[in-house]
Amino acid sequence: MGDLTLSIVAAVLDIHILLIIVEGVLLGIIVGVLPGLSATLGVALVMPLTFAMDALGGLMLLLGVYVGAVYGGSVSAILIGIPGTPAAVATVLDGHPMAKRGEGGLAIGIATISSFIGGFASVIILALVSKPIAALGLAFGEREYFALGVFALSAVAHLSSASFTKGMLSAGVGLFVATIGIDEIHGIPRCTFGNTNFLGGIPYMPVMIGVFAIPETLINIEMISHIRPQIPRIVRIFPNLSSLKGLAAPILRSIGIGSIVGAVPGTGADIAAIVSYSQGKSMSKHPERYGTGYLEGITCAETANNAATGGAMIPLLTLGIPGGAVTAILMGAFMVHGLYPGPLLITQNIDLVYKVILGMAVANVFMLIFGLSAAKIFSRVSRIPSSLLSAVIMFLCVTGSYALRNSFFDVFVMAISGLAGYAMIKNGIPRAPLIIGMILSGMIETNLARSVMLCRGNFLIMFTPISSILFFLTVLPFATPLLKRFQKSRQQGKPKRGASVP
Amino acid sequence: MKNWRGEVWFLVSVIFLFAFLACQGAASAQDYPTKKIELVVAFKPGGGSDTLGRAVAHYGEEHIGQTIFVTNRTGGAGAIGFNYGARAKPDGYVLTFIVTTLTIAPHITEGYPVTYKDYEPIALIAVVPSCISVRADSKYKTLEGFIQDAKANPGKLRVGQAGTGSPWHLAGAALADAAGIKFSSVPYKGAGPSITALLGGHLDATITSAAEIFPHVKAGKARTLAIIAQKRFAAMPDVQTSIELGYNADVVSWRGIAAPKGTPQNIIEYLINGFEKMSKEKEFIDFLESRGINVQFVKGEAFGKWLADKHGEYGKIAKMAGVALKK
Repeated sequence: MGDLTLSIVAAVLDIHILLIIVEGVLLGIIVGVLPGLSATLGVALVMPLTFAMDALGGLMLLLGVYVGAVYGGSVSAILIGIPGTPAAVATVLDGHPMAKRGEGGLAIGIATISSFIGGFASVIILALVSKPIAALGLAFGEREYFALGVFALSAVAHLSSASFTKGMLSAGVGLFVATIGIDEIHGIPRCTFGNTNFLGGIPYMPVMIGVFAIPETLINIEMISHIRPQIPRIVRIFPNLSSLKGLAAPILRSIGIGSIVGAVPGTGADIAAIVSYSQGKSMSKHPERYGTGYLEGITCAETANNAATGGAMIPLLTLGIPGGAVTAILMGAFMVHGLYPGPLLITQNIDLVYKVILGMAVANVFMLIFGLSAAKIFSRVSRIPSSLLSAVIMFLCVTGSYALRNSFFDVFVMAISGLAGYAMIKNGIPRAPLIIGMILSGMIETNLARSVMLCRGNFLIMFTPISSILFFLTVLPFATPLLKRFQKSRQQGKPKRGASVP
Repeated sequence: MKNWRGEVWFLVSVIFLFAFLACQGAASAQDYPTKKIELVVAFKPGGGSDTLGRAVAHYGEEHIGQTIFVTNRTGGAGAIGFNYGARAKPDGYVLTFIVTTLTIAPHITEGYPVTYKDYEPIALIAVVPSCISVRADSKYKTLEGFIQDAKANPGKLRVGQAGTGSPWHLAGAALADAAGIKFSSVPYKGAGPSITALLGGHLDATITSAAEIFPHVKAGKARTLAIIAQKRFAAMPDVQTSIELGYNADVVSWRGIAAPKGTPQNIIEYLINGFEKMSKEKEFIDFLESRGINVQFVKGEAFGKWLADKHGEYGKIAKMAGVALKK
């Protein structure tokens, strides 16, 4: 065993492998930072490079890009308010307000540390307890996915603190817009008006870019003639210890949520971050500070989305099931070398499995190093005059929405959603629920349809153990205030009645 | 005479200029390729079409003599990408990685903007048969056993497929028709999720391409009951085909390369030549084989005829499956 451990460590710490990991992580961070380039696209882009590499080298490059990209999305989310990847939607909510206060460096610092802790912890979970989590992930059928989707959608309630109705409106529009295009169950085009572009649906990335970034620049333009308050220069990137202590509980919770949601095939870092953020807010001592530039909010989102990277590896390595596009490419990288991930790989090539896990941990360490060392440079972005920054953001919006599918249609989608986002800000309608609605729409709708096919009219079948728990968790936060009020009125009612009858 | 010289030179240079401009088209055809070539993939990064498309770009570059870059133009069951590729300027600089969907979607999706007829066929690269598989611990050991159970419980067995109008949906319909059975066909978003659902115990069987299920069969988690095609699948040579078992169902998926209609013939021939060399390269063959796919190279007109045959065939099966458009 000692020899095996030594050989694994030696193989991963080999200078060639280390350089590959460094290259992968750097590339991943760049892909993540650029809006419109998702982690999946980054991994697909480097895939042909791995054809000529050995199994470990190829896997390490892909994993490095994956880990780096999921983290990199937070940087643009914080600094310019555009989530670099869908996984960073929740990071915008608290990260960007901090950057606007001049605390961008600190926000990136905490995002980096949280991402590292989340990613690293998920790798440890992957190494130690992957089997039960993999079994849990595999237990998700249509009914459980539907329940998970509804549960994640209930996040909307936590995210629309100002007005619940406006939050629901925003989410409702998101759910609807995502139904445009060819429907997944019956293959019927919906709301396309005979337009080929609509046949392909409205993807959420350009909407997300438009809705988050364009209104900011428009508001900057509004303010151009005003004298702007000087943004204080805060160079700190490390949070002080006392504020870190308060983050322990949200971090632990987010690690759990991220690893498990990541391990459920078909869900990923984006849904993990949304669920974790909303759970963080509902269980926080200061829910009112969420969305105003609160460290805890960034921590919840960033710990969870990076924990989902290790989580996503769980079903791949233990069961040989790729849960998403990134893990499908990774599976291909195994197969090029005649290796088939799954129980057999673990018995026959356990050393390779552990090398991959260790390599992933190393990738997380490099992510931490690069993230922290670049945080100071990155944080200067918020000191760029807004007239200049607005132009750069507009440019990134156009290229980012075009890059996704190489389509000008998406640029129009971005522009129109930008105007819609401006109107939403002016009317106090929260923007995050719109995106969350769009992300979850397909998952909820198709799994409901499959569940209905399964139930054949007997809707009690909907309640499996897992789906029941998820439905219960969905209803709980809404029911608690009602129950409390009910209890209060009974407690208050009793002595009154007693008093009236002396 | 002398005072003419200026005008003559002027005329000559104008003629040369015009000739040069006029020859641009022809010249570019002769010098093809002088710039980078785009290969349109109509599906998302990371999927089967994308992976193979990227491999073709990677291994094809050397033989075509120019960088080939992949763009994912996704959405609408391939409509966006296929349409873009078919309407691109026919100069050989935009090629499309066309797949089975192109011969199915026009039959079932209203307003699908493109068919194989909008392309100049270059080459078929690979053909993969469909198959029906169950979990390794399933009670079904043979296709016969599955069919008997399906007959005893009409409409009850849950069989996954990769989405309405996917080749695997049609393969299921063809098998059901040939065997005279009915089952509940559950659509998923691609073969991956349907395999996950099968392994999670949420389905009785699933229909996928043999290439997609075979790593799971090799890993001992799934069992393929039958290949739904004429020929056996090289990576699983022991599995019998539906035809051998007496059920007349044959559905395959295919992947190939095409250029927009009207691309000059010499460019087409140049591309056919280059990709043919690629198809014989050992590394390319090995890469495909690692995924259980055999290279099946059919070029030019023969590929065009093959496309027309498939288009007709899938139209018939779509009608049988009840998903075809009413014309």
